[in-house]
Amino acid sequence: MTSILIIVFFPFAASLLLLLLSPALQKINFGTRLGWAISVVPFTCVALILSLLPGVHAGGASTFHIPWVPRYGIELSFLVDGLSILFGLLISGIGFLVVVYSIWYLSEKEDRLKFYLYLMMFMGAMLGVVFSNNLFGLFTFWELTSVSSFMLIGFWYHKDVSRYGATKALVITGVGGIAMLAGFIVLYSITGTFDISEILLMGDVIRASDFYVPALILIFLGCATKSAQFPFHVWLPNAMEAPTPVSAYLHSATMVKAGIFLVARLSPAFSGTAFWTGLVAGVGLTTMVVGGYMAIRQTDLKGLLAYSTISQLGMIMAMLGFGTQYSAEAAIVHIINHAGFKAALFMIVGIIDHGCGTRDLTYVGGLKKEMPHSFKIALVGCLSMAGLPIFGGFISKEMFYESTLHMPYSGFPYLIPFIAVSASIFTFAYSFKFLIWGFFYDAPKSPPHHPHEAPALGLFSPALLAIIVVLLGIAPGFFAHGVLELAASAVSGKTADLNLALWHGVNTPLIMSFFTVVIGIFLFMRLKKVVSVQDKLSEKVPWLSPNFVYNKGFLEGIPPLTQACMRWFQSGNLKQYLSVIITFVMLSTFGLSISQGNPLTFARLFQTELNFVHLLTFILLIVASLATVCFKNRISAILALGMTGFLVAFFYVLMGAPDLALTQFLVESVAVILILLVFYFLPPYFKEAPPQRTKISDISISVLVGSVMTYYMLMVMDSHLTETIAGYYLEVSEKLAGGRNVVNVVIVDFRGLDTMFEIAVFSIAALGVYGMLKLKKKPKHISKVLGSK
Amino acid sequence: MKLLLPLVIGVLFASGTYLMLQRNILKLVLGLSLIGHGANVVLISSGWIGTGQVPILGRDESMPFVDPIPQALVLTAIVIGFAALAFLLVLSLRVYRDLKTTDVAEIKGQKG
Repeated sequence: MTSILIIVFFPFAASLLLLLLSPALQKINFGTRLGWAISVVPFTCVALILSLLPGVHAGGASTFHIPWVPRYGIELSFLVDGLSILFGLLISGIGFLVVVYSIWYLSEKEDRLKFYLYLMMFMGAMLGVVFSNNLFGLFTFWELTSVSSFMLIGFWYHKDVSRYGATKALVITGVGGIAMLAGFIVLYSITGTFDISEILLMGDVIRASDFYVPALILIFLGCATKSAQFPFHVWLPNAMEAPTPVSAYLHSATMVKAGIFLVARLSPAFSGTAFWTGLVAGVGLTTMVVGGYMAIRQTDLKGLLAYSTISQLGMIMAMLGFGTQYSAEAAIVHIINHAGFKAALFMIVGIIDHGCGTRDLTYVGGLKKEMPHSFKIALVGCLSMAGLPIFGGFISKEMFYESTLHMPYSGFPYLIPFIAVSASIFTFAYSFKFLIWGFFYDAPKSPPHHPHEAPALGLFSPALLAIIVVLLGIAPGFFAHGVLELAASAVSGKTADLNLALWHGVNTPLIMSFFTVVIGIFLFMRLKKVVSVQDKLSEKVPWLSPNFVYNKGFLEGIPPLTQACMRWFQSGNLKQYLSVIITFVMLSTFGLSISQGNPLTFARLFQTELNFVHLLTFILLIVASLATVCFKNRISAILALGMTGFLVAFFYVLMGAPDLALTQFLVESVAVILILLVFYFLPPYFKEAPPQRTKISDISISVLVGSVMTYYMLMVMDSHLTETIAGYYLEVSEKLAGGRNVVNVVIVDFRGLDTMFEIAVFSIAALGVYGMLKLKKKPKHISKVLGSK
Repeated sequence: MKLLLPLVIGVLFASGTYLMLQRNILKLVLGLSLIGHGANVVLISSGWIGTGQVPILGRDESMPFVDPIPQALVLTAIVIGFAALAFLLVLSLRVYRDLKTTDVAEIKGQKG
């Protein structure tokens, strides 16, 4: 089982190594050798994951634990089953191809070191997400993928659009991540464990819980933001500012499938309710239609692929939402199909971008002659994406249609198949737009460079992917029995038996496919007109786009809001701080003690007899402390304060505390002298003349504090005395410390360390006083503060 | 009698709070001092058992002793309180020397 550790941490180690060696590496000209060296990492991971496969075939899922915070059930724990192996293979396999592709793609001028550093960090994090068996481990890796995605989108950070895209992706996926964390905690409150394999067995408990809906919504928010589901999909098109290998890897094949993965992973625990289907399938279908609608508008090839990815992710999400065993199988099949053809197409766009200097269909067209090899690969990719036979995409689209016909909880039996077909018509249209406009039709304008084909190194990865796409169509059984069945079983919780084939005979899905193709061709022929209608529509109603909400609401709305909050909460006004803090503490603790404490009985309060000396002391204390407040003359106020101190000292005498009384007398005398001394250098009280309103609020806050403290003291004195530890000190004071004055013994002996620190505090205060008196120089920034007044 | 002591504590805290809410830094120091007294009295009163003997051993052992632990705590508190008072006083002196004001609001550069 140590191989699982290597799988997850080898990429991290590589990333760390690059970081540590970067000063040394920057001096030497490593050229393309760095990329080849890095490609060893994903290759090793592929091999190791494949080596785990026989074990899963034989014995099912296995887990691997390393305790981290055992007390709270947080641990580094891995789960190896069909689903994690499928995703692991996707991540490391496409990772390998992307690294090879990037050796060609990244020119000498680019910072390759940084690129591979981030890429390896992402790969490790993504492998961590799919192999995690602990919700906290999963969350940690999940956030790491967001961070590395942020770095990679902003790889060309000197461009504004890159920074905008990177921030947008981080903000949207980050907010979703936090919601997901909250969801995990709610889930923990239901199940009492963070262990995913245990949670998966508690499906019935979870579905019956009152917290089922909140937990599902919160976790699904994380999944929907990560997997670019409507209305959170807006970050994905902007993420296309990343270098193309990154778009192929993170933003089509792997990271955006993390949300899909988690939905699939938690399916056994959550699926099977009407709410699940409504939420997951509803969002998925909406995303599929919106993505397709947007994709046909794009002239930027990468933008087209981005919206297409959104649409396809929505389709997979919808299939998971249906919640039947068959739909789970269909989802798994489409995950691998989509990863294959979409990564290949992205790489082709990268090649076009390199060859023509642009990837905009306004400038790029008719590339069939100049780029014959790229054309063949694009042909395979686009036909598979459009869902035409002999390719893998056809099989999964047929399965999708089939599953819409048998979905549970649908009030309208024809609605879902109808939506599915409409969305697939868009898919067909944009696939052909990519293919026909890019490779057959001539573009209206000519590109910056004369197009030229990429060398073999650049073509290797997409070509290999294209071969896999063809194999997925003509020999699906190989993949199905190898890993897909295992993955589907992990999602549905039942043993899956996949019989994938191109030809199923004439059935309803085939008829639906027929209509899709016919209407798709029709839509493609009229595409220019449709797009001009779309453009007019989005001009007239700009607020329909979630981008509008992000830009206007978030980017422009949040800063003024936070500034207003800052001005209100961080005003720098001491009085306001004090008022808020004091009022809050008093009201909250008072409310708590009222609701939970025992009511006052007054039973013990009347026990003691009237004592004239006590009475006089108390009354004088009240008078003196009020006098401190009321005297307008500061000398009188100081004397009143001194009077209060001496009365407190006298109170200590009455309480049987002679040591305290002595100390208090001494300290109070020194304090009064000190205050008088300092006040001599200070101006007299200035006239504050506060507005009447301020005075009233000051008085009410003070009265509140006074009443609450009075109430607490009544509670304390009213409650029954419990045995204190005083008995112990009284007993052992003479025996152990040889002193009869117990208070003194406690101070210097039993709590000697306390006293030592007290002396330390005193010394620090003395040092501070000395410094403040002696330091003559007026610091510059203080005069600046004054100047701003 | 016991009813009056909580009232005394309440008045000490209320006066201290009121002084602290004023803009004059000197009143702030006085207010803090009053609240310190209040806190000490609270601690001592919690050990009050009506009548009790000073916790010094070796004399008449028949009467119960007053709890010595709050006394030890308060002894520390008095001394620390004095240190804090001295520090604050000199701080306000320094503030006045450098900024020529004793108004808390003005120190921050704003009125009100």
